[in-house]
This record gives sequence, structure tokens and C-alpha cells, in this order.
Amino acid sequence: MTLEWSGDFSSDRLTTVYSLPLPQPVKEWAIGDATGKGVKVAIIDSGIDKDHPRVGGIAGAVVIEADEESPDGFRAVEGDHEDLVGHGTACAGIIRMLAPEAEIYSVRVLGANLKGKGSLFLSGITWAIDNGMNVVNMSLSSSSDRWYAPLHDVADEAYFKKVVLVCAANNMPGPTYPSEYAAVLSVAAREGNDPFAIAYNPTPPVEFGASGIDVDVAWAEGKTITATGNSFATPHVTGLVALILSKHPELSPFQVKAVLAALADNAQPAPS
Amino acid sequence: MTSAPSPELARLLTALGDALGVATRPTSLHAELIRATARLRRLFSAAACSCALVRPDGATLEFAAADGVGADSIIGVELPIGRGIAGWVAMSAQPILITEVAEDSRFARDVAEATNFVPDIILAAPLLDEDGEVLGVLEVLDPQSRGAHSGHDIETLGVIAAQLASIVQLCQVFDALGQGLVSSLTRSVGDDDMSAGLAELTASDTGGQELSSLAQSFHDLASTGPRGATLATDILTAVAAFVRTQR
Repeated sequence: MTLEWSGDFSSDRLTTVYSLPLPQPVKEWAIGDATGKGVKVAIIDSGIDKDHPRVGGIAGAVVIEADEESPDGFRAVEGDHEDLVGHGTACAGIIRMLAPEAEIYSVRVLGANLKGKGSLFLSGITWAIDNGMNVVNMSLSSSSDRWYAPLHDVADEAYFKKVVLVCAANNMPGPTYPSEYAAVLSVAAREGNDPFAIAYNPTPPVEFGASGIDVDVAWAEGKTITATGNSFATPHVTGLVALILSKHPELSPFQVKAVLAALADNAQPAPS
Repeated sequence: MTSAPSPELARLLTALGDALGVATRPTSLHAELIRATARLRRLFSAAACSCALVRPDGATLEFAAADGVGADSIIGVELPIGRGIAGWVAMSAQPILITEVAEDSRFARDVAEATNFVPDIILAAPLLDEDGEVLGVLEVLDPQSRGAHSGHDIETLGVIAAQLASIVQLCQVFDALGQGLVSSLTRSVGDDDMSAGLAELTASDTGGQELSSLAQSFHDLASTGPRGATLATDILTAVAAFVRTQR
């Protein structure tokens, strides 16, 4: 039941899950002193205010627009752009806090019209795969069955090309794509302010819980606000993935997922 | 009509008539949304609650109902979809709760410009139809009665938004059905071929569902007794008479 997703991560309901018996302490082995250096992170959202103090610059920016004359159905307009809302900036600020040296790219797919939204969403992921991103933050979702298969296909493509997709689940009744796919990392909000603290849900489809309730985040025009939503928990996991890949660039998405599960508050090494 | 309807045509007319009877029940979408926003505002002890619906162009949100501070001035206001928190919720299909809103003038502009009221807290959730398409956005401004934590508030609003979305979608389907029926009647009066018009109507795709199955569903819903059937017949007759006078 989707509405229980956040509840599944509350401390009184979390149960212990067995994880890979990685070298102890796991956090030291998985992250150590990693800074995110060498890892390209795409944030598919409303744009990023690169000058926000909590963002501190980005490596690149692109706006995905519909283009009927293009064989792919979209065009990628590279160059500076504003954050239409402030949400993409919030995600960038969280990722920068966890992985200060990660190369952040803004992939703006949210725009002026709902029509074609699913197509632009899909195209944004495609752009990230084609342009060598290592991890993609998606604090947005689709519930449309029309996009189930196309998003599933591109999620699988990302998986096999070693691009980690981190997707917000949705606390609404009904399906949510692509967060439900096994090839991606699905995230819901849980209580707590420790940006590094995550929990693993033994009863997926939402696998990871991270800080996302009443969190202090960057917003438009250099401001900060307090916000709640799975969309703010997602960049916490993205930041952790950037750290893991920074220290272990050879890992594939399913290996990254296993390492994350081992980092969970409720994880316990599997008995040998 | 110049000839007596065939049994099949009569069956279709009865089904569609019943459907129209359901469609024209005395509860309007607007009234339903007004009631919902008022109840929701009380539930959260909020300063205001509003419901904005996505216009057919996909680029605009129009406030269809509101209750509380600024309600009178915000109903009917249209906002670009790519602006403000309501726009982000519509675009991302994600519910959200933001506090300290008043500190960010840009963030609150969509609400403030229409109501001259800048809230401290905005709780918002999308209205999704059964196919997952965004129909609109439900917003609660400055809720005072909060749950155990902000996550609960989002989940509560999400449940209500889902229920409200069902009403919105149902009303839109009724509208589509009524329009289809009138269209069929209009054509049939012109060429004396209601059978062809109805056949086309029942084979058409309206709102993602075949109208024929839709009509059957409505027919089942409307099969409550002779009074309903009589009402449906009366309405159908009245619509047909009206259409004739418009030609």
C-alpha cells in the first residue's frame, strides 16, 4: 500500500535486514573520505540556480525541449538557465552537501506545458545516459500507464550502461514510475535530520528511506525553506551514491544498491 | 426521426438515456469542489484551501474552487503551469509541504498575486486520473491542525486528492458523454439517420474509454428503478427537442 511507504521507514516498524558482509565499518569501506570527485550527477527537475550559495556552481546545464523535426523527438538546449520553481536547486544543494566535489548537471524537463511531459521526462533520462552521467536524480514521477513501458525500457538501458537512477516514490494511491522498477533506486522520506542516514525497506517496492521530512533546503533566489516530500529524500540517496561511486567507480547499479543496503540503519551483515 | 427505431436502436437509446440521467444529476462539479475545499479547510483548520484544474491546453491551471481567505478573488484565476508551487506539483506529480513560504516572495507569488495573502505553509498534492494524468492541484494554506508529522499531512492530503480526482474525472466523463450524445442527435436530425450517428458514437473513443462500455456502465448505475428510467427518457426527449430548435 503506497501510503505506508513512509511509515515503513519509521523506527518502530523497521525490521533488521541482512546485507552483504562488507568490510567493517561499512561506511568507512563504502564512502571513507570520498567527496564525489569524478562522478557526474544529473538532476532532472525544474532547473538549478547555479549561483545559490548551497549549490556553488554546476558543471553543465541543458533544457530538454520537444522537437518534432528531431529523430529523437526532442532537442537539448545547452547553456545557463534559471530554476523555474526552486525545487531543482533544493536537490542540488542537498547533493552538494553530501558530495561537495561531484559534477552536477541540470537537466530541465519541467516547463510551460503538461502536454509532452512524459516524453520530456523520458528524453531527460536518455540525455543523461548518452552524455556519460553516472547517477541521475529524479524527484519527479509519472503515474501514467502510457509511460510504463517506455520508462521501463530506458531504466533498463541505464542499468546496463551502469547509470544509477535514483527516483522518488509517490505518497499517492496508485502506481508511480519509474520508482517501482527493480532497476532503479526508489526513495521515500523518513524522519530524522542526519543526511547520511538511510533505511532499507524489507517490503519493497520502495527500497530506501532518507531524510525528507521538515528538512532545510535551498530554494529560488538564494533563499532557503523547510520542506517535506519524497522529492527531498531522493537527493540524499543520490548524494550517497555519488560518494560510493567516487570511491568505487567500478561498481554497477545492483552493486551500488547492495552497498547502500549495507549502509542502512537497520542492516546487519548476513551470517557466514 | 422519420421512422420507428429498431430494437437495437431502442436499446441504445435507453442505455444512453439512462447514462444522461446519471450525468445530469443535481450535483455539479463546481458545487462538489466547493464543498470539498470547505471541508478540507476545516479538517486542517487552515486559512484557505483551493483546487485548481489543468486547462485543456495543458499550459494553464485555473482555480475552480476555494474556501477561506481570498477565496472569492482566486476562483477563476488562471496561472501558467510552469510557475509556483501548484505548477511544480502538476509537473512533477509529487505532493509537497513547504513551510516558511512567506520568506520567499517568488515562491508564494502564484498565490499572493491572486489573493493578497501570503501563507507561511503550503501543503499541495496533485489530482491524478485513473490513467495517472494530472487533472489539477489541491492546496491547503496555513494548516493549523497538523498530523503527527509533516509526512502524515502529505499522506492525508494525498488520500483526499485521490478521492477528489475521481469526482473530477467522473464529471469530465459525463461532460464528454453528454457532448457526444448531443453531437449524435444533431447529426441524426440533419440526415434522418440516428442509427448511423449512434453507431459512430458508441464506437468512438472518449476520454480514453470506449463510449459504448461507458454508456453500459452508466446504464448499470442508473438502473435504480422506473423513476430513473422515466427521468432519463424525459431528459433525452428534452435534449432532442432542444437540438431541433437550434437548427
